[in-house]
Amino acid sequence: MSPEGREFWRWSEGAWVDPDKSWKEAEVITLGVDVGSVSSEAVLCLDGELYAYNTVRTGAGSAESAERAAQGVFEKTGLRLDDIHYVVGTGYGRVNVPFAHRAITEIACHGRGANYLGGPGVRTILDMGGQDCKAIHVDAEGKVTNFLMNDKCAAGTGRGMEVIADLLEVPIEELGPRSFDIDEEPPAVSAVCVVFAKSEAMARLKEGWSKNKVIAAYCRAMAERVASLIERIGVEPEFFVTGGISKNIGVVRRIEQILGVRAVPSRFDTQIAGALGAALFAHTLYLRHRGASNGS
Amino acid sequence: MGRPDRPVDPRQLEAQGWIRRTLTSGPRLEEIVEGYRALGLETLLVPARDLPDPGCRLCMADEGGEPRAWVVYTRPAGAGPAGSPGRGHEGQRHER
Repeated sequence: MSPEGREFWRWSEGAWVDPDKSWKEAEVITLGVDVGSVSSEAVLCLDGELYAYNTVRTGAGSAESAERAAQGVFEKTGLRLDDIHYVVGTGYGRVNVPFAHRAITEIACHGRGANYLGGPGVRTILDMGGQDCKAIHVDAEGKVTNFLMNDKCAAGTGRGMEVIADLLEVPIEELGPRSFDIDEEPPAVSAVCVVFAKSEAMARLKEGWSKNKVIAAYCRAMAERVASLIERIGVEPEFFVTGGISKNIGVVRRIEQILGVRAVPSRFDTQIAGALGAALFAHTLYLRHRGASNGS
Repeated sequence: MGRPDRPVDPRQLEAQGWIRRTLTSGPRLEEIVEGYRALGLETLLVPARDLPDPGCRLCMADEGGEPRAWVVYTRPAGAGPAGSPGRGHEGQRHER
């Protein structure tokens, strides 16, 4: 945090609602809540279609974070928890969504959500979250067939990027674009650990490197680290990126360059992939439950 | 999930068909193991020690003699010592 108290690492929270849909016309309304280590998302689906979502920063407790995320999307839509037919919780604290009917693994939910956002052609998903990265293989229905996660470490994750934003006093949303405003691509930050990478960044600034050059070096380090994870599992097209760092084009473009593939674009914020997958699973589970109840 | 009682040589594990997946701890560890078992894989956990990077050693140091983090290995269920990890990619699809 700067002396003035500005938090450069803080990214935008907010909600979105599809203006062309109305929940009053829906037969089945489901909610997915993804409580991550850094951010929490809530997604509403109407009859298996994306309707609304909300993103908040995860607080001290996962239950409280889940409630806050859900409350935000309820306020935006006029819905209440009583109106929801089925709720699935997921994420790092998936077992702590108190109002969920069921919990499903984050990896499975990401696969399902990416299948919706990127289309049935998606086979390789890269999820770059707050405290870990996941490389996931899925089939045409979004079912997980293989996955890898990074070694437990802040480097190569959103938390590492937040540290750099705060160190350089650059708003986190500007890191990606500024990483390209350089004369020449610098070598990647050499340190694996974000604690030592921070020291290295400070040393480069003292040597006369511009902030943009330091940002570029850190983006490259993160891209190389993440690309090596994907290369271990193999890149099968189509390639899709989710998670908060998917918004950092400085990292994403460098990953694409290293792997020689282009990520499938998405109309929606791919940070919601986990919660969206959870809401879609909720839809399936509700229909199955209703079918069993009807004796069919 | 298996947890060996004494130090293991990663090369020995690889010879037995084990593939190193990740290093992790806490709730994430349980979730990862559950995920691999759902894919039909066996899992093996090895204490995360002898890490080359000083930053890693700082974060992953044992707590009171207990490992703070574990390295997760997998191999196809029933593969045994002669199991093969696949062609160039870690892990493999499990055809059901």
